[in-house]
Amino acid sequence: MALQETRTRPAQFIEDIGVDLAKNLVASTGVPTVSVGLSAISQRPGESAADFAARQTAARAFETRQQSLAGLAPRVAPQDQLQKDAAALAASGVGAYKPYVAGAEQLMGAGAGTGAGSISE
Amino acid sequence: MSPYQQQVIDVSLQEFDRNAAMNRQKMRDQAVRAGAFGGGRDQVLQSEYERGSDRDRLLLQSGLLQQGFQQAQQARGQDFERQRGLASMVPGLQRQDIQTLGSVGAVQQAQEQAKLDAQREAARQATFLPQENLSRYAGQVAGLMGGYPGQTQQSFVPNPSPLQTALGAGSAIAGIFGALK
Repeated sequence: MALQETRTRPAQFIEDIGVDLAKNLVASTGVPTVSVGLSAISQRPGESAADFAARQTAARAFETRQQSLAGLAPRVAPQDQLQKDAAALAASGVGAYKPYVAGAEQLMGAGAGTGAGSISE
Repeated sequence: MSPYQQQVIDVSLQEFDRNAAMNRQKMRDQAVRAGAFGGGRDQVLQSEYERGSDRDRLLLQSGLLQQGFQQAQQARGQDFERQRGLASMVPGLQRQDIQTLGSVGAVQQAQEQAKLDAQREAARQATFLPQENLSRYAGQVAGLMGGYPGQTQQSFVPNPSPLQTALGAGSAIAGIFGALK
């Protein structure tokens, strides 16, 4: 008895796509993950020139992608003027009671002329 | 001493002195009318009057001073209570300040955190775009391959017998000779 194996291959273009995908997958595993721009990276102690160059390339690519995706980047609306004014007002009111407390102390002490010295006179 | 109290005392003593002077004058007038002015009896009367007047003046002055002292003491006690009230109020006011600053700070911190989150998300998008593209591509390829599946079939074929082999070889040789003719 002999074993006979029959393979029916998919269409050539499908095979080509599959091969291309596999190549890309393998290639992507060799690219270092860099999430900052070129100016933010430096060669680490013990890092080979080739590895650093690979990171530099990845950083350049990151910058390019970031620039290209700028339109999709999430953004945060700044505080509007009313909110800024409210914060400034709240902060300016801090300690506002101090002059009144000091004034009241003065009125109660010297104002009444009833300090300890006054009583002994 | 309060200047107002001093003024009250001064005016009271001035009034006392004025009344005393008037009384002295009355006594002198009476002595003159009685023909006893300058006599021993008159001098004794005047001396008694002066002693009593001085005593009354001192009593009036000390009474007023005592009154002033008691008022001052009372006012001082009220001052102390009010100061204590103020002192107990200050921590509450400070707490309000702390809460205000904390609330404002929390709003600003949340704003900054939101910016940082947005920056991080932008960096994440740019960092993993190739992988995400590849993943999307792989999903589409998998779909395509599902539509054009390859197949592998395996079967067992029995080995040919010697006779079949010989016949096969004979027919092959005959074919070759036929072709050569």
